[in-house]
Amino acid sequence: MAEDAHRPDWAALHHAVLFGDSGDRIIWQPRILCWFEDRQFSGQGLPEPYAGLSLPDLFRKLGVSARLYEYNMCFERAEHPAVQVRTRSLNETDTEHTIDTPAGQQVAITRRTSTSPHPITLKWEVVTKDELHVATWREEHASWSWNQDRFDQLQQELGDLGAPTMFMPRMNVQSLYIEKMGVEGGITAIYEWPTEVDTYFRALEESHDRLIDVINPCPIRAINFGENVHAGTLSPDLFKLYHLPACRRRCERLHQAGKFCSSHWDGDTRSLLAYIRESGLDGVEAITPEPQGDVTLEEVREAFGDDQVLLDGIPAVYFDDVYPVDTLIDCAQRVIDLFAPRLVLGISDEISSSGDIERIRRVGEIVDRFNAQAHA
Amino acid sequence: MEELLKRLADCIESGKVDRESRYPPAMAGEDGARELTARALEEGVRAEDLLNRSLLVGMHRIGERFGRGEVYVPEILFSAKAMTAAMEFLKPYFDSGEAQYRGTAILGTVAGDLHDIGKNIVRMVLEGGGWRVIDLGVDASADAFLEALEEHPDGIVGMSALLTTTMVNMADAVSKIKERNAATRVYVGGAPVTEPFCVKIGADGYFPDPHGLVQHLSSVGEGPPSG
Repeated sequence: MAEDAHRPDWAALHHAVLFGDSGDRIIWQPRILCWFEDRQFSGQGLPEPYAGLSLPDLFRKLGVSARLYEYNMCFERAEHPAVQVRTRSLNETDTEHTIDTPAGQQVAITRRTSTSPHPITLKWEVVTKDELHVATWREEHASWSWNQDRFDQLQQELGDLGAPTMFMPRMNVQSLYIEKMGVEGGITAIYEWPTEVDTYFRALEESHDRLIDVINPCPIRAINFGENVHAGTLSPDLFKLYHLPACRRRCERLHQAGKFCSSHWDGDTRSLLAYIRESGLDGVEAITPEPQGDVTLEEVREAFGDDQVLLDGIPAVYFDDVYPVDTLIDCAQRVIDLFAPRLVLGISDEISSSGDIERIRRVGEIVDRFNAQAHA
Repeated sequence: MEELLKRLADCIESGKVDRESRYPPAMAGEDGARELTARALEEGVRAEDLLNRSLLVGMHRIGERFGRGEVYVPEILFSAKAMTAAMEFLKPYFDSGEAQYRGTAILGTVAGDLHDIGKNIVRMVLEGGGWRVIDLGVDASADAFLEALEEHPDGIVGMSALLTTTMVNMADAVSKIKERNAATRVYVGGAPVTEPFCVKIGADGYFPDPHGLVQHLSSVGEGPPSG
């Protein structure tokens, strides 16, 4: 498209920022996936002049880089061949998912709604100790592979819109909360079934070790841990006991292959800031600042020291007309002042459905001016 | 009796549900809220006294610590479980009118949003504060709130959203509720929700944590005693 003609190679700039080779330049990667998907799901489409655009073309039209988690599709997880997954409709909205394995059965029930593209979980995959045992067995027998054809295809489609990026599956506690049991079930299991939970965590970490064996030789260098850390639920005690050691170990292995490791923290994080520098991470994504999260940008900067990269930094609500544009502009400038050049500027965490997409251009102008001065 | 009420309050604050529960490790093998509530009723303690002088005291203490950032969701979840275990014994007294609810709260996560832990904690804290809670669950439409208000016209409403993409649905729900009855009090919360947003959509209050809501309700004449 015409907008592409004079822009920088964003993939190269993205890598340069992550690995500290950008000179003083930064990159602007607004997070608009949910805004885009919401409009597709509701059928309202995109406003002019973006109507009909694909997501990559929307980024191009806005003149901004994208964080390309599409590359996750290059990693394929395979279950043990004996695992059988069946689904059946219970009624117009509810679906039962049955997973049969040599170690037993799991049953989950989900509900489709008219208001969200994502189904509601009515019954989690793991509720009983027996189901946790099955989850453990499935992880013990899971394998991972790399799909080069898919990578080549994505390179073709996405070009240099951003550096190829992937996010790893969640570690121990967050896996239990978000994927297997829900927060309430997960918390109860951690304290009431410690032996069974530890066995599951061990199997999960070993499975992810096998994934790292696939990641390390691959050409993707930006690795995110899609953890959705929130100190409210992943309390400092649980963070120190489970999350921190696993995170550190992962980072050590990925660093051996020269990867950049970041993690997605998107809730309250003040009580976890003290652990960032010992986490092994090279950067943190979202780390939602006030008025959405419980940390100030200055507190994040202090916790980061001079080595961490901030990915994002502008509270998403500042893209809504509840806040004047000047608030957004001031915040964007402050994020740059505090974190550049170790900054992949973005939105913490996703622009609202009612957010003003044109405000993305205003931030882009600030970044362009900053980079022009840095280049001069 | 005082010693028993004090021990029960400690169980609520510590999240000790019953003798079998492993949490908290420091109280392993001891009686929990279930056993102590049963014993108190057997010994003739009035349900109202049990609620006000023990259970609510324990919940108030843990709520205060949660509000100060000293404890987190795991701790408050176990306190709420202990409270629920005790309330099972008290429910017949509420049903018969011997003990009084402080009011009815209609709670839900707004349409399109599937996150429920924040809303669930508010539910637990309110139940622990002696409120009857009508929980509409996640993905609750404006119509669902209106239907619940038909049944409980004096209820207050609490709604949450965790996503910037769904908090806009609060505006629709608040508007419809206020259209029906402007006097209905509506409170909002959730990670992306802010005071300016609350004001913009015409809600009556925004609280970043459940204890803030309980304190507010207490300040307007309803809520748990201090302890």
